[in-house]
Parts: sequence; C-alpha cells; structure tokens
Amino acid sequence: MEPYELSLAQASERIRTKELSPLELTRSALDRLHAVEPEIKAFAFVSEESALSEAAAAGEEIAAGTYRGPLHGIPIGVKDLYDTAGVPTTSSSAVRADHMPTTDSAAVARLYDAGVVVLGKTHTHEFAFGATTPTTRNPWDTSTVPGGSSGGSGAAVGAGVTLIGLGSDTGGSIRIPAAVCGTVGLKPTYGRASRAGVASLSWSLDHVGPLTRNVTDSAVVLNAMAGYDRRDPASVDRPVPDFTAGIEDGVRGMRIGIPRNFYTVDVDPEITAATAASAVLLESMGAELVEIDIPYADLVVSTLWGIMMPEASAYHRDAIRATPELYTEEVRDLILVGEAILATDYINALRVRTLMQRAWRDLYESVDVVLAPSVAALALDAEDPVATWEDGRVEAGTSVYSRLSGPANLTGMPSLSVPSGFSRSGLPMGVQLIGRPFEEAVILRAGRALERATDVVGRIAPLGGHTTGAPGAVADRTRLAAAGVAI
Amino acid sequence: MDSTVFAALLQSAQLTLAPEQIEELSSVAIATLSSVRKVSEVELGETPPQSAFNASWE
Repeated sequence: MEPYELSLAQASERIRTKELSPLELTRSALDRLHAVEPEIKAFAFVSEESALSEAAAAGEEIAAGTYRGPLHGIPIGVKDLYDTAGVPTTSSSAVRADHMPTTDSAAVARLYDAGVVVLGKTHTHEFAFGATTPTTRNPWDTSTVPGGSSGGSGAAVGAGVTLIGLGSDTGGSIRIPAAVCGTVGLKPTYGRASRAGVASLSWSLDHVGPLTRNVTDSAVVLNAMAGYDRRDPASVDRPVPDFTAGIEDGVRGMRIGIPRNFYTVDVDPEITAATAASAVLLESMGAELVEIDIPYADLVVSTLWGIMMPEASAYHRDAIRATPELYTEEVRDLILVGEAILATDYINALRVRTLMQRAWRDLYESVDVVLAPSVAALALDAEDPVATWEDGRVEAGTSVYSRLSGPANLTGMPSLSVPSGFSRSGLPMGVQLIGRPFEEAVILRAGRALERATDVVGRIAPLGGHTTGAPGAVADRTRLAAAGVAI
Repeated sequence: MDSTVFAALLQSAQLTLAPEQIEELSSVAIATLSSVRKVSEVELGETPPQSAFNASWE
C-alpha cells in the first residue's frame, strides 16, 4: 500500500509512531497528484515547494518530540475561495487572477495550527456560483463533472491525492461533490466554523467544512475548524465538543426521518434505491424509521435563490460593472439577474426562512436525524451537464445538484454526505444525514454506523495506475438485495 | 412579468446592457424572478426576517 492510500487515521498513527514521515506522505500525495491531475484538473495551483517545506518542518517538529495531533503532517487541498497567505487565491475566476492574499483565512490558520501541509488550491465553480465545476473532471469517470462548487476538492479526495479537501457550502457545495466523487462531506451548523477570509457567495447561507475519505476523518477536521471568531458575523460563541467522541456508539434507538415528499421527486431511481437501502441498514442496526413530510417543500428553491442571488449580486456589484467580460457567461448572467430581484422579495425570502426554521424544529420533535439523497442525479456529462427526466423535462446541472441541499442551508442545520453505493455504471452515490443545530456529533455517529455496515466508503477512484475502486455493480446490487431493496 | 419589466429593473439598478443581451437573458430572468416572487405570496403576518446583527463589540 502506498502512503497516499492510507486513511487519515492510519496516516496519523504512522506519523505519530514515526513509521511514516510527513515528507514521505507528502511526496506520495504529490506523486499521486502528478499521476491523475492531467485527467482530473482538480487544482488551480499546486504549491509543491512550500508543501515539501511544510512537511519537512512537521517531520522535524515531531522528531523533536512535539506532536500536535492527528492532523500533524497531513496533506490537504484548499478550495480556491479560501485565502492562503502568499498563495494565489483566484476563486477560479479571471476576475481574481491577480489576487494574492497576505493572510490566511481563519480555517486555514486553524488547520496550520493543527499541523497540516497545504498541497495546493483546488478548483471551485467560479466564485462558488454553480454546482458543476467546469474546470475539473470526476475521477470515477473523467467524461463527467465532479459536482460543485467544491469540485476540485471532491476530485482530489476521490482520486486519492489528498486526505482532506476544504469546501464551502451555500446550496450544497460540500455535499454535492462529496456524493458525486464518492467522498464524505460535512456541512457543519451555520456559525460553527469561521468563514473569515473565504470569498462569499451568500453571507447568510455560506458554510465551510471538509471533504474527507471517511466519516471519522471529517470529525477530526471539524475539531480543528470549529470555534468562535468575531470576524465572522455568523460565528456562534458556544463550546466545541470533541466530534470523535461517541462516534462508534451506533444508532440503536435513534429516530431516522424518512421523507415522503421533496427528496422523492425527480431523483434518479438508482439513487432512490441506494437511499432506501441505507434506511434499511440503519433500521437493521436498531434505528427507528419515521416517515415525515418536509415542510414548505414548494418554497425551498424560491427561498434559497431569493436569498442567494441578491446577496451574490451585492458582493459582485462593483466587479460586474468594472470587468463584466472577465466572468464566465453563466456566472455573469446569474449576477445580472440577481440585480433585478426586489429588496422586498429578498426580505420576504428571509421571513419565509424563519417559518421554515420553526417548522423544521417542530419536525425534529419526532426524529433525531433526517436521511435523504444528497443529490438527485449521478455525475453528469461534462460536455452537457443536464439531467433529463422520464417525462422528457430537462433540468440544468446546478439545479439538479443543489435542489436537495437547500433545506440544510436555509435552516443552518448540519448535514453529512456519506457514500451510499455505486450505480450500475460505476458512479458514486451518496446520502445525507441532517441533524439538529449543533448536533454534528449525532449525524457523524449515524454516518459512521452506515460506513461500518457497507464497503463503499473510503474507496479511491481507479485512475492513474490505482486499481481498486468501486465494488462493482454486481456487488452493489447484492448489497441492496441483502437489504431487501429491489432495483 | 416580461422582458420590458426586466429591462426596467436593470435600468433601475443602473446596469447598462445591450438590447440583445437583455433579450438573451430575459427568459431565464423571468423564470427566476417569478420563482423568487413566490416568497412574497406567502402569508407572513408578523414573521420577522432571519437576519443577523450582533451589537456586541466583543
């Protein structure tokens, strides 16, 4: 086994016991990067020299007896929205081509304190305003998109380049690439992790969090990212627990909400089947399944876009007038349309959000976690990223991918995407577990239980000489059949 | 809503777009603005908006 193939827990333990040096791990990650990057184009910038230097420094520190913890010497990819001192930070846009931050974003600074090695900046859909990441390809099928907007981080983690990718999630942008690239993705509660120094798409919907190879790794990263920061007006000053504590405790007695609406409409049948199989697995481990109705389902998309678009247009107001030609056509059009949304509609979207929060709070009197598909479609064709439904309707990629993410962004509730299986065509699928505010530990526990019960989490895409990958459609159908689900 | 209204809204925002660009954008814009308008058709009563402000200096 090559070092890049290790999980975070395995790599950390070997680094702690000095069986593996951060430099060896980083060199292995860089070798993997060079092997797959021509096919997936996950990175906007590779900071090879500084990564090797950081890894060497981490190794020296550990050799001298100072081990900072499980992230010490671990290579990560940072979404190109996050400021990184002295490293270009372009938001994958020509508009920011020359942006060179002088300080690190809060999340990067915290992770540096924990000892990480930054391998480079991963591509985002331009300014995070879209869910397909056109610059990048999906490592499981390079003719398809990696999802987005944190598509570079999804591709890098899915391809086995980095153990961790940082993402941001305004309408699903952590969970979408996680599901489509076969990784775990954690959107923490709104306000749990600081967004200071991360380019905004929509201040009242933006979240930051990790994409990782497994559930426990996400808990470890959140331990480092979480905490109050006055510079972020959404940041919440409350105690930060150890998110790995109790993660192995299982789901016995946990009430899992199974939606009867919203998450059941216009969803790929294989994804629906995999989600049902996950529910059956949770039930088989002692959870109670409770059928639920998602409140204000018909207003989710209107409310999400009614908030996101005018906030994005306000953020880009000067640049869209000064250099409109530097934006891609897709994002420029969205920003222009957002300028035409009335202030009263924007405020009313925020008021509907209040109603939604109250209704979801009531809903959680009967459940502890909601289980739902992370996205409605498999990885879409990169040349024409649309879904065509049974009745012939065509839906654009960003809509297909972000539609099911909206409730957790609007309510601020934490949501964890966990691989749920592979399609017959070998593409990853994911389920999301949505929890009460600040109960990340509960969804991590449920996610870890699902992970233990399957063989689909932690796989590295078979690319660039790596030979393992998806368990295959036959194995997957067997697993679904074992769970009592017909596909 | 039609493309004339969209053009007027852009003008109000002091955005100067060529007529053909407005025409190209109109169908998407009208669909989006109509979708967003649904939030103003909800009976909201005294419901306050979810907006954050922290008066603390700490």
